[in-house]
Amino acid sequence: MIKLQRPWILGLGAASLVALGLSIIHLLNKEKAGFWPFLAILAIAGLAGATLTAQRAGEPVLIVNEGSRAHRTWQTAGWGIFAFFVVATPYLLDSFRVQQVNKSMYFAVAVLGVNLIIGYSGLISLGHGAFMGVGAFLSVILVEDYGFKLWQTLFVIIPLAFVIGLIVGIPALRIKGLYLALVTFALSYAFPTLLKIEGIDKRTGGDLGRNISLDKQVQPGRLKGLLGLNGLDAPAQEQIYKYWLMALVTGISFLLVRNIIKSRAGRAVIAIKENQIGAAVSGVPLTTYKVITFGISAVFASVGGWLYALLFSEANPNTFGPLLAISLLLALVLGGVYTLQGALVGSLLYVFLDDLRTRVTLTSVAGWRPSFFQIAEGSPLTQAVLGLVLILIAFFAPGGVVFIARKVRASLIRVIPTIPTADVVASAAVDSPMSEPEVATTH
Amino acid sequence: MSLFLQRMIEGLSNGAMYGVVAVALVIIFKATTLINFAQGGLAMFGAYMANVFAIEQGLPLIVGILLGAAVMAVVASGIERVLVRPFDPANHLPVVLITFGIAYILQAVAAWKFGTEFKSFPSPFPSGPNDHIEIAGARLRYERLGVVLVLMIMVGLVHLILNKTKIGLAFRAVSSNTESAKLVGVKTGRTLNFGWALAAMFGGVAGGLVAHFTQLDSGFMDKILIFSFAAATLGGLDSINGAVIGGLIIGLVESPVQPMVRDYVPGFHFLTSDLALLVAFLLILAVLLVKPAGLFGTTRVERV
Repeated sequence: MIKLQRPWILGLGAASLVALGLSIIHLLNKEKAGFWPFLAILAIAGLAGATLTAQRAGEPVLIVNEGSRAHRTWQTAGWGIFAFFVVATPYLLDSFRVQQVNKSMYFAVAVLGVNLIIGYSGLISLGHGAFMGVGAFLSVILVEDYGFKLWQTLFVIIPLAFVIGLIVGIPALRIKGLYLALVTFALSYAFPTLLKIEGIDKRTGGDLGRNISLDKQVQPGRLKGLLGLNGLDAPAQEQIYKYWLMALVTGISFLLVRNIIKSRAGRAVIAIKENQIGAAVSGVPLTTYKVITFGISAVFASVGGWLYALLFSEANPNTFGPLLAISLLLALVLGGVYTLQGALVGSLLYVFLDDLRTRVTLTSVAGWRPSFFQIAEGSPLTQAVLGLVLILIAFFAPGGVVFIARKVRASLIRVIPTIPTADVVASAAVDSPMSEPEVATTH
Repeated sequence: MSLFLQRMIEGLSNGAMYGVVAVALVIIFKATTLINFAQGGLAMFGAYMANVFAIEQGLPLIVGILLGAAVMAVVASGIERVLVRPFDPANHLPVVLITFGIAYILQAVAAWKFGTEFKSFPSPFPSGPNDHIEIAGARLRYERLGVVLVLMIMVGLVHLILNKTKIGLAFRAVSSNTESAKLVGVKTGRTLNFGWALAAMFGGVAGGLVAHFTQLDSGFMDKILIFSFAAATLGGLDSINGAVIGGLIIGLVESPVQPMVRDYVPGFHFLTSDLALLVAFLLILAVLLVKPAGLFGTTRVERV
């Protein structure tokens, strides 16, 4: 079934979305803002207007059945647009912007790990910056001192990060409350000092950090022609080549996390978050699941660190301190806790916001110079923006951007879910941790 | 021996400063089971305010420090009312976001308003080269002894407030059982507000004392905050006396014990003072592993 009322609202929404996308791309490529910021504001107003009108009407503009032909067409179109952007992004933007997108990708993989803990287990970790550091440093050290290829280092990094995650997680996760936040926050501060200890600093480079030497860095290889890199300048070639490598790893990470969440263990972890006592009564071993989830999330953070080493070919102890951990938290809540897309959206938003705050002054936005707001470029006060964003999110957008987008979509489009048939219900019941026979018999 | 005694006093005075900040953390944790990550930022800002009052306006230093602490108490009570109270304390994430947001903003404003270079800060106690008493060859400096004295006064004060005043009684009621306290007519919101103000005052005083030893800069309380976390965990996150004793123990481990281990135990020559943060982290891990309630904290029974 498909029902379309007042198509102009949907049209307004779609047009606003396109205008917003266009103005963002233009703002990213041009130094001069021109009228594009105003178009962006207009587009946001258009979206808000469409949403509000649809909400006042009390019924979404478009109603389709899940799995119907119309629904599948829309979904395919959506994935098509997404795929188009994935392919086109590196070629539309200049190499500096591509590097920023790459930055968001290593961030996104680490944020995925944080999301497993904060979003899906409901625990708070402030130490994933250190796990990223483990990944970045191990890859640099193994490549430089032990003759590994960069991709081979993953086989060392992943198990080691898991074990370190367990060591940090076991003491804190046995007890309820903010203890994990406490331990991991201390870890964030301790980690850089650990790397600078006499003896260890021979490997980590101490305060200066280590580089991967030029001949061992990732260089555009045989795929040059296939990726359309011939004829581009060297930085663009390098960034686009790295974009594709990183997009591959990021894509695999997202798939893995999606499967983990949908697995038996993932649902058990979510059950712990929703109701700890209920989960325990249903036979979920609380501590085991929490600790293993923490270990897995540490692995994703370390893979994020590995991507960092791939992108920048260096690692410095001071990078992986408490500020990075809080940035990961900020990216996560910007995008949306408890959503998969949130990790990517939030990382993109964070990286671009962080760049904006250091480069753009308030006076340069519109040429208007209110003396009270004059802040020099790169002033330390711009750091307050990040703090302000944290507070604003907690108050006005606890679900982040993805949550807002979903609300907008829900007020415009409603998908009527199909009712599960009997076989689906039965197989789901067998699969769920609640009906495990061994749980029923041991008590 | 005299060197050891001297280092003992140094350790005790460092520990006293950790203890004061740890008491501030405990006050908020007791009432709400929240950890205030902005405590370091508030203390740092209090020290800058003390700098404004005492150095720039020329007030006596002790008055300056107390005024700075009082300003931070007002700020903290405002923060509690506007930013923290709307949230359910059982939901940790928003409060963590907000306390970090406040810490960011305070640091940014301090770096912007007061500059990013290190500033020296005087001690409220005599700190000239000859201001010390000698016991068995050890020079016990007044500035060090004074800090320990302040800690004792502060702890006495907080016990007086909690045990002899009406609002203290209300605070104890709220921390023991918020729901029951509400039922018998305690204004929980106002009481928690008082708790935040009291904690910020402690932080502000600690900031004014620490600044003399570390110099002022927008991040000078960060390290202290980690040590205070360790102190509060060691003593038990809901025990004020525990926080003090935990602070003193950590101070002693950091100053006299660590150099002794480095000098006399073979194989430990890599122990430097930078490593103290790592020691604090390992200590938190160890306490949570062995005795999660800390030395003096109440063991919480969880109905699972």
